[in-house]
Amino acid sequence: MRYFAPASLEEAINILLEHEGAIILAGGTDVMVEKRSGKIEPSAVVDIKKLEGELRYMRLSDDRLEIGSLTTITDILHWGKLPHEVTSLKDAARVFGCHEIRNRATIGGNIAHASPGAEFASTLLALDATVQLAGKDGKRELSMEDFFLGPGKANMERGEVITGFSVPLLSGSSSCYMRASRVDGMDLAIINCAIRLQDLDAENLAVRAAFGAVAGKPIRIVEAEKLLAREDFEGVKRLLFDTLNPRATSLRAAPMSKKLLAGNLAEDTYKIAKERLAG
Amino acid sequence: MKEYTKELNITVKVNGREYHESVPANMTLLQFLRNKLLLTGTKEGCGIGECGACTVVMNGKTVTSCLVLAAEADGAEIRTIEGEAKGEKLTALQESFIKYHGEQCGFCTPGMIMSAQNLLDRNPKPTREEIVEAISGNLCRCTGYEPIIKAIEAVAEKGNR
Repeated sequence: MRYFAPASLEEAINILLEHEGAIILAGGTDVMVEKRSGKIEPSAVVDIKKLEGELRYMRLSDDRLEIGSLTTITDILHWGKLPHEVTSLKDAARVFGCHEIRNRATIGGNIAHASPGAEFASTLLALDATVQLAGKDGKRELSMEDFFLGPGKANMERGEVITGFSVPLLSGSSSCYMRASRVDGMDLAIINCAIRLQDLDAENLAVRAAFGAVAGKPIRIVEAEKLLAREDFEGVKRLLFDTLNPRATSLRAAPMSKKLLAGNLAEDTYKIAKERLAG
Repeated sequence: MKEYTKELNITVKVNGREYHESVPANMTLLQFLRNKLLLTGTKEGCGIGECGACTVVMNGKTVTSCLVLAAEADGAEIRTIEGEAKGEKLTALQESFIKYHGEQCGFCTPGMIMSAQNLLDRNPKPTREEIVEAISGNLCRCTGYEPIIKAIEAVAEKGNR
C-alpha cells in the first residue's frame, strides 16, 4: 500500500486515476476499520486532509447552507451559527460515535461510504440536500436520492471526490433526526429517521421523511410523508410494517424488529420536528 | 498484483520530543507509538475505534490512534499517557484515579486518562453529564464506570492539575 497526501484537489484526482484500487482517506473512521478487517485492500490511500483549507467549511449563503466535505462531526456539533431549520444536522452529530470518532470523522466520508444507516445520509436526504463532486471532467451536483445506489455503493466515478453539500433553508421549516440504537452511547443505528416539515399554510404541512437501515440504501417514503402530514400515526405504523422489507442480512436487529420500530420512530421524530416548527 | 508497502519519512512530536522516523505506509499511529517508539502505555483493545484504549491527543484533540495512520501524524503533536506524570509526580487526575479506585485491571486507564484530561483541559468544571459523554468512547469492563466518574468529578471540583 502506498500513502499520498496531495496538496490540491487536482492532484488528488490525478493520483486516484493513476492508481487502480486507490481509496480516499478523510477521517479514516470507516477506511481504517475496513482495511483492518480485510474488507478492503487498497493499493494506495489518498489522504485528502491537506485540502482542509478548501474543503472544511460551513457557510450561509442566501437561503442555503454550504458544508465542505472535510467538515468534521465535531465542527457541526459545535457550530454556533447552525440555522434552526437544519437542527437535524446537530441531532445527527450529537449521537454520532463518540468524542474521539467525531473529532476525526467527516461528513463527506459518512456519505461516501454509502452505509444504509449512516447518520447524515437520511438527514441530508430529508433536508433535500445536494452533493457536489469534482473529477477530471469538472464538477457535478447530484440529489441525495441519485447519489446512493445500494449498500456501500455511491454514484461516484473513479477519480471523483466529494467536495461539499448544499442544503436549502426553507422559510417556515424545521427538522429532526432520531435513531433507535441498542445503547445511548457509542453505537450505530438499528434504524434511523429524519424528517423535514414546512408550513405551507394554516392547515397544511409539507413533509419529507427519510429512513436509514431499513433497505439497502437510505430511502424517502412518499406514502409515509402523506400520512405524517395528516398526523395519521397509526396509518404510518401500518404502512411501514406492511411495506418495509429490510435486508435479511440486517445488522443489529432482525427485519421484523425494524418493521415494528419504524412507525414509532417516525411518529417520535415527526412530533419533535413539529414542536420545533412551533418554537 | 500486490504492491510492496512503501516506507515514508515522518516528523512527529510526542510528549514534547521530536522524532524523525521511517514508517511503512500502512502502519497505524498506535503501532508507531508502541513498536517504533516503545511507548507501550497506549493500549490496543479492539483495533477498530470502538473501545478507546488507544486514545491519545493529536493536535489538541483526542483520537483513537488505531484509526490514524502514522503517515497522517506527520507534523503533528501527540500526547500519550507517558507524557502525563512528571517523573514520579502524578497529575491530579492520576492521583484521583488511585484515590477513588478508578482502575482495576488498568487496561482502559491510559485511554481513559487521556479522554478525561482532555475534557478537563477544554472544560475545567464539567457536569456529570459532560463527564459521562466525554468518556463514552472509552470502554471499561471492570469498574462499572462509577469510580472513574467520581475520580474525574473530584478533580473538577478541586481544580485541574
